Amino acid sequence: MRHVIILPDLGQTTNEATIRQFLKKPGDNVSRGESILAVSTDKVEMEVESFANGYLRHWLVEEGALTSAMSPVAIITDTADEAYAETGEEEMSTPEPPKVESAAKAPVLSGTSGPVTAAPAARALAKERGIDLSNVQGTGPDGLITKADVLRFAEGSENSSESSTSADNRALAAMAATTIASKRDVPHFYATVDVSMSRAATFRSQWNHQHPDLHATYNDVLVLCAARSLRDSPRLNVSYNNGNYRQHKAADVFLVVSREPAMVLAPLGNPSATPFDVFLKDIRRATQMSAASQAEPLLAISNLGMFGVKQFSAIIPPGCTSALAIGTVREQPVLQNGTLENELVCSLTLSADHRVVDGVAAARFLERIQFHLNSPS
Amino acid sequence: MSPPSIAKSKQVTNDQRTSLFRQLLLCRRFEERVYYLFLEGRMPGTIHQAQGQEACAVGVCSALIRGDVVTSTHRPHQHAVARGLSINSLMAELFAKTTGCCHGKGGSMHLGSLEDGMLPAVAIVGGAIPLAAGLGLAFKYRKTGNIVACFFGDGATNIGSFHEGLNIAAIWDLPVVFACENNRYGASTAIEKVTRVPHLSDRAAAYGLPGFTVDGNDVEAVYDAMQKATKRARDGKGPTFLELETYRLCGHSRSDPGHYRPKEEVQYWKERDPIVRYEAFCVAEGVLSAQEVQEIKASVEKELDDGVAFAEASPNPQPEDVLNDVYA
Repeated sequence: MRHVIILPDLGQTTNEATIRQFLKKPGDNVSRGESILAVSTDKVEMEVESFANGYLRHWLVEEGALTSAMSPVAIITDTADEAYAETGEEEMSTPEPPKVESAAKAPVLSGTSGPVTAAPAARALAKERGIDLSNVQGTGPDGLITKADVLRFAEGSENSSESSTSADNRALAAMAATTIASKRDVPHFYATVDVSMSRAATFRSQWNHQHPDLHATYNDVLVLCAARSLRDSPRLNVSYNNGNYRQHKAADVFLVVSREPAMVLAPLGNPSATPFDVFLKDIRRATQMSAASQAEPLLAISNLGMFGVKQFSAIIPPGCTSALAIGTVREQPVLQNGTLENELVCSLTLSADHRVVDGVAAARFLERIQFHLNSPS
Repeated sequence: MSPPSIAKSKQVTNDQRTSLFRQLLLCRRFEERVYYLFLEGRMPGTIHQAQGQEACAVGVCSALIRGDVVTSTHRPHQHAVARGLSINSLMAELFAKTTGCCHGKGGSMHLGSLEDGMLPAVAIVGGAIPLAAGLGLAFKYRKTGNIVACFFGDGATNIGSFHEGLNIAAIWDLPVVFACENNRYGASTAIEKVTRVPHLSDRAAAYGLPGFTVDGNDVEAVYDAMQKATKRARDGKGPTFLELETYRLCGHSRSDPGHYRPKEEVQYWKERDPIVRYEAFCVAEGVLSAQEVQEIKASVEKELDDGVAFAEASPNPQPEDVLNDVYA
C-alpha cells in the first residue's frame, strides 16, 4: 500500500516551508515517527516525520524548494518492491490534462492550469465520491484543492441536471473561488492616473475614416498602448510562484471579456509587435475566443468605460501580476497655462501584486501608457 | 543509570494501580494518536502536546471527586482525558465536530465540560489562576465541599495573575490546589533563565501557603501529595501549592522541534518516562502480568480507534449554529 507523506501545517504565521535536507533516500526503510526530511520556515527549522511504516520510494519535492503546507512531499510503500504511482495523486499513474467542460475553452478567471494539487483529505473524499480532481477549483494556497472545494463541487454536481442554471452556478462558483483566493493571497495595491486621450482620439477618427471596414474603438487603442507599455516595463512582466520569480519576454495580455454569468479571460499574444490592422483583427478573434493561444499573459485588462463607469479597481486574476481597469473616455475641463480647456481624459487604475511590483514600477508603467497614447501608430 | 523507583503509596490499592496505569497510557496514546492524525493532514489546526507529563494529570485528577473542577491551560489534552471526559467527545472536539465537548467551537486549546468537572481550558498563560480562585470562592460560599485543581506551567509563575490568584486564595482560605507542572521550559525559555529561586514551591511562602516539590513523573507521588492538599482544602484550611517536576518529551507546539534542549537532558528525562516507570513498577509488584499489560494496551487502542471513527462520522457545525453557546 502507498502512503503519501504531506508537509504538515506548521502553524505560527506561515503556510510554507523550504525543503532543507532529505534525511532518507529512496529505498530506505522508515518507521512511524521517524524523521524523513528537514524543513525551515521563516521562524523555525524542524523535521517532518513519517506517519507510516514502510519504505521511502520517491520524493515529490526537491531540496531547496519552497513548499506549501499540506502538499505531498514523499511516497512510502509498505513493502520495498511493490509497484506504486509516482505522483501525489491517489490512484493515478499519469496526471491528466485539466478538462474544460463546455465549448468555450477559456478559463473562467482561473489563470494558470498546472498539475492538480490537493490536500490529502480532499483526495480521499474525491476518491470516495468518484470525483475527478482536475474538474475541481482549488481555493487553498496557490490553488490547492481543499476538502471544502470537493464538497462544494460535489454539491454542485448533485444539484445539476445538465441545465444551464447549474452550468451558470459552476461558473459563478469558479469566479467566487478564484476571486476569494486572489484577494486573500495576493497583496494588491492600486495606482490611478488620468490620461489625456486627445491625440489618441485624433488618430482613431483618422483611422476609422480611412478604414470603414475595420473600425477601432478607444478600448483597442488603450489595449495596444498598455501592451506597448508592458513591453517597455519588464519589471511588471514577472510571474511569482512559491517564492520563484520568472521574467516573461513577450508582452502578452489577457482581455477580460463578459460571458454571462461570469467573465472569462481572453489571451492576446504579444500585441505590441503587430501592425495596427493585424492587431485589430487579432483582438476581435481573441474576444470571440476562437483562437488557440500560446500566450502566458501576466497583465489582465478590463474595461467598463462603455457603461459610463468613471473609474474602478480590478482584482488580479490568479497567475497574473497586475490588472488594468479602464474607465470611460470623458470630456473634462482642465486648466492649461491659466486658461480653461476642454480635454478628453480617461482614468486608468492599475492593481498590482506587491510581491512582484512596487509603486514606482507601477507608476512608470502608467506613465508609459500616456507616452504611447500621445504617439499612436 | 536506572531511574528512581516509584514511591509506593500506602493509600493506593492494586485495583487503583491498574486504573492509574490505564489512565497514564490513555493520555499518552491519545496525544500520539492526535499527533499522527495531524501528520496525515486529517486533523486541522496546531496542537500543544504534553507527552511525558502524564503522571501530573493522572495523579492530580485521580484525587478528585464528583463536583470538583479542574482548570487547564493551552496544553489541556491530558487534563481532559484524566478528568474522565469521554474520548469520543474529546476527539470530536479536536475534529471541530458538533459532538465535541464544546460542540466543535473550542478545539484543542479550549477542551472542557463543566458538567464533567473541567472548566473549558484557558489558553492564555496563567489566565485560569484567578478563575480557579473564583471557582473556589463559589464552592466555599455554597459550602459544597468541592475543590478546584488549577493546572498551570512553570512559565505562568512569572505572570501577574499568578500573584493575584494565589494571594486571594490564601487570604480567603479558598479550596484550591495549585498544581504547577514544571516542565522546565516556558515555550523555549529555560525556567532557570527567568527565575532565581531553585524550587518554584519556594514561592508559596510568599503567600503564606504550604508548598511542596514533588516528582511529577511518579504518579503515586503526585497522588499522595494531592491527597494531602485536597484534604486541607476540603477541611477549609485553604490552598496548597504543588510543584510537579516533569518534562515535556515533545516540542512546545507542532512547529517546535525543541532544539534548544541539550540531548543529554532529553535522554535523562526519557529514562524517567512516567509510563515506562509505572509499567515496570506494576509488573515488578505483581499488580499486572505482562499479559494484562498487553490487554490494557489493546483496550486503549480500541477506545481511541472508536473515538476517531466517532469523530469522523460526526456532523460538522452548521452556519446557523454560530450564535448558539454565545453569551455576549
